[in-house]
Amino acid sequence: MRTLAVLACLGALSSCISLNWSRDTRFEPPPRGALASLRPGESDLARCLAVLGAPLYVAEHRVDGLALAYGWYESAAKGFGFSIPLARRTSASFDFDRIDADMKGCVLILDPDGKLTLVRKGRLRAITADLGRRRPASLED
Amino acid sequence: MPTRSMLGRLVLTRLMLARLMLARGLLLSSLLAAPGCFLSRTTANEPISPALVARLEPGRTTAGEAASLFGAPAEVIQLGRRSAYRYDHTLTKRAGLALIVVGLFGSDTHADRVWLFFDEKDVLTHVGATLRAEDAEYALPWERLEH
Repeated sequence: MRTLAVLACLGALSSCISLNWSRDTRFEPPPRGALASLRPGESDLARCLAVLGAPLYVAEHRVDGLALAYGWYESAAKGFGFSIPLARRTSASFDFDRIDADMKGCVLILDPDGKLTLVRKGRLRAITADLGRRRPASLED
Repeated sequence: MPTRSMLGRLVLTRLMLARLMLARGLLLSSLLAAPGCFLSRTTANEPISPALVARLEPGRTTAGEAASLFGAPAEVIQLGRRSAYRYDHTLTKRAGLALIVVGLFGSDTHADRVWLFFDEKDVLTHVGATLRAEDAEYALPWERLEH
């Protein structure tokens, strides 16, 4: 009887209190040494794409320059968390403007001739802050 | 004075009772754990075929031909007089185990992503492709991911 009461209490508690351990991984970091193999002043767009693959997003940099942003994310909570769900969870979607908040990443800046001029590493949002909004293209034929 | 056969029967009865308790315990824990397991898979857009990517020829393929191969891009970026198209497909695999008040969740997302760069005449100049969506795995937090 006592066991049943304990189980019932635990069952009721589970709807408002939970101990969570979660891990979230998104995309993959570049292969080891890949970023170091790119040399400002020497590497071009083709080389950058061959080494790092498709960027997460692309933006125009100044006039006719280019910025390629790569990002990856891993949150691995080692302990248990304690949470009380006060708000409904919204569904996860891939909004490329929002997911970069906690992402690690790198940005490659290329000049109008397509030569790599600068490599930045760090939190994606911080290192892309000065790039401004991506300009949507006109879809005229 | 209990006889030897009576003692034997008593031991046997206790053993059977212990087995019954164990079976009940296992059944109860299975019943408690079973409703709390889940695996889910979320996808966005269609997977990108490597064969289609291989058909792109920088210097020859036009934006129109690329669009007829891949369909409408997810995003078009104007880069001065040039442009770039993004195609992508994302796959998220989630695994979870909820044991009364303890929740264990793992989520792994990977993508197929292709960027096509076109010059001012809409001719393809560069292709950047990462096709890793199928690397997504169902894994709980302590499990090692293979990628």
